[in-house]
Amino acid sequence: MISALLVLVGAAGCSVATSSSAFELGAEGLRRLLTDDVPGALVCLEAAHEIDPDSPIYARDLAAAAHRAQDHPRALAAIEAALAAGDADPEALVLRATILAALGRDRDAIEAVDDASSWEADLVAAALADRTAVRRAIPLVDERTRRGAMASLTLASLEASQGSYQGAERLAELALTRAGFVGATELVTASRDLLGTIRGRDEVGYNLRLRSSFDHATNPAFLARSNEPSRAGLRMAFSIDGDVTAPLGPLTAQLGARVDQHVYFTQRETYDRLDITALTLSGALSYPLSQHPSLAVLGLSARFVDVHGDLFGTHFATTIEGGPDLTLQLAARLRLRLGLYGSAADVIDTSPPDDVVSQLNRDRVGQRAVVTLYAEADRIAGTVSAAFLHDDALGDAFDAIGGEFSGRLVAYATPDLSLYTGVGVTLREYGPVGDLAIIGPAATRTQLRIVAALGVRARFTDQVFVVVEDTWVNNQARDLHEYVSNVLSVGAEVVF
Amino acid sequence: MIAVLALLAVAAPPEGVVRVAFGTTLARASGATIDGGTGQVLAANDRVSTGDEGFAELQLGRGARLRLSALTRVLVHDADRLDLASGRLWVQAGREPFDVAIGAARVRVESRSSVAVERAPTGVTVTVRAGRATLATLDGDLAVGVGQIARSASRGRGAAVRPGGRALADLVAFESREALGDVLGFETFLLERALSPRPGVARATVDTGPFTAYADRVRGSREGPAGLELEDAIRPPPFFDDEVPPKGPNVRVDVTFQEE
Repeated sequence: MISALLVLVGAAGCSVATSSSAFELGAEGLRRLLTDDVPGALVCLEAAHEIDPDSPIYARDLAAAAHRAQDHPRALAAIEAALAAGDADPEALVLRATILAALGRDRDAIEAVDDASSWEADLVAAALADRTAVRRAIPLVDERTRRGAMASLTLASLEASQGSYQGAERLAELALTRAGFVGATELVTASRDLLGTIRGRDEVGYNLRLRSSFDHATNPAFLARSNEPSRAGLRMAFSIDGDVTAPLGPLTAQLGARVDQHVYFTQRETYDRLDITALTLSGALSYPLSQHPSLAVLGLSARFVDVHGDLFGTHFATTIEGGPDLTLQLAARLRLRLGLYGSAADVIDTSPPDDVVSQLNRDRVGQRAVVTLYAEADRIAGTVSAAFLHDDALGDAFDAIGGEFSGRLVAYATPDLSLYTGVGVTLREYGPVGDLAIIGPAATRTQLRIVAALGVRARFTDQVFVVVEDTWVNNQARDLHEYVSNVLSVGAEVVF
Repeated sequence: MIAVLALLAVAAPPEGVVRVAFGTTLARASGATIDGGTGQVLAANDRVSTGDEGFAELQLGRGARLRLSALTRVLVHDADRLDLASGRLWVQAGREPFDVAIGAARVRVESRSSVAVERAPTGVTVTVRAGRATLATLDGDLAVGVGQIARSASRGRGAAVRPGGRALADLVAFESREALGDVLGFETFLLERALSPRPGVARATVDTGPFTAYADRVRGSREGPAGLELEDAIRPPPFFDDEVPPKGPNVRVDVTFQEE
């Protein structure tokens, strides 16, 4: 009774009748919150919560009021009391997430709405850059609703934060259209502000990644099964790669570069020539065929690779490839890319001598027609690719025609942990040498190459990831040209 | 104050309260009809009706939050139960379950659950936003979970549960936001975030993660050197394996080929 008296005295600032029950105090607190009398709401709701701390209703409203008053620790305590008292609606989970985000606990915030099963939860997590939620939010931009405007605005901001300013601009324009359509003044203003920020931005975005790993290869030189037993090698691999993206009129231009270096620790006398140094340069242009973010995009790309061994002591090969592609967004989580690429490889004669897979050691010009289907679910992304390939090489024996199939799957177990696997199968027929009608099957050679990979990528800190991968290669060909190799790689990656 | 407390001690506890109301009528059990407004205590047999642009949030008992959409009529039974005569109702139950009677049918909103219920001339629709519910009809009980929708034909027959059905759950949330505004700060949060872009890890455009297919690899530099085969796309393996197979002078190849 004394505590009830104290509560009522404390609730005097609430200025409802002195006989007020928690019912009335709570209702008055909500009324004040709705009329932006946040201090008054706090008094009433604190009083109601004191009287009935086990009511999820007062606790949630108190959390909302404290959050508005920027007292986030108090808000967090209140919303957790509400959840403990049985408040299970996604509204409560979303409120907790926004409070956690206000406290700088973004990852906890994403986890807080992980199972909320509501579009509000998806947008909150998307705003916190949770990729699973982003995928769920993408279809919302198609709605001519307030929700569509909010989704467009959220994703526009996310794109801008990633340096994809053209995509961000399109989404912000969409948000402006949607917000205007439903008459949401504050969203119109926000969309205009974001558009202004994007258009007045620094024009150039960039990405940078450093990676280092220890690799154990069971058959680094691809020795054939029937040759001497393979000798395993342990090497260290370094790579640095980055790209720069900038608008170019209606196009998006991207330039990338990558440098790789391998250093073998073991069998130096055998593998020193395999201390690979490689330089990769690439460029791409993209042109969206409409302002909608999910329609077709035309692309044109090219890449140059130059590979040396033994710290530039040997020049192995130079490759140039490139061509146009078309990406079609078939559904929110399904897209198709069609690509036609030309490929030319100049294999330098000073390549290491070897008698195993020599068919590939030929200058060649080839074509690739590739169709790739990308599908995504909440925590899984998968890709299936099929390609036709043709190579016209120096010497009839090295002409090749074939096909390639691959399937890949990545599972995002948590925001910080992903598991991935994939399988690729390549079938090539080389030749014919001479007249096929006369020589028969002996005029051609068939190669079947199977690659399987399994890996895990775990976040160590905000920018550092630990990566463990295993790649297995099995090459089936004629005698003395078969080999198996397995590479286990353990490394770290830093992204900027 | 002591007298007030004494009165509180002997008075019968009310069943609930009107927390917020717009365009709402409250018909007392005594027959009096008044405009519904914040703080009006609810007793058994009170009726609450919302108009064609009305909205009301009620509290029954300690933990049941109920939101009435426009053109909705309910009859309060007690702290744990009411009748839905018509319209759309959103029930958020606390630690105790809550019952909604709808003619011959009944919806039990289990504890720690949130459920949207709509009564139309064609029947009853139930959608679960969180937790679970049971739709009891003359044909038996149907359990409804998140991601499911239950419908029964009029007079409490012909009920069925099927997947899907976030539309009704989303609709009640829309209506509440329309009526209450951004009371929980959800839109404020989104606007603040949208206007302060910061580096993140996700892309709004679809991104397949660490794997990129051949086409992606050609387009960028991030996934290894030039891919001449689709298998590169799997991981780009140690690129020596792909790019520079250790092979001999071409003339030796020819010799080997001819030997077979």
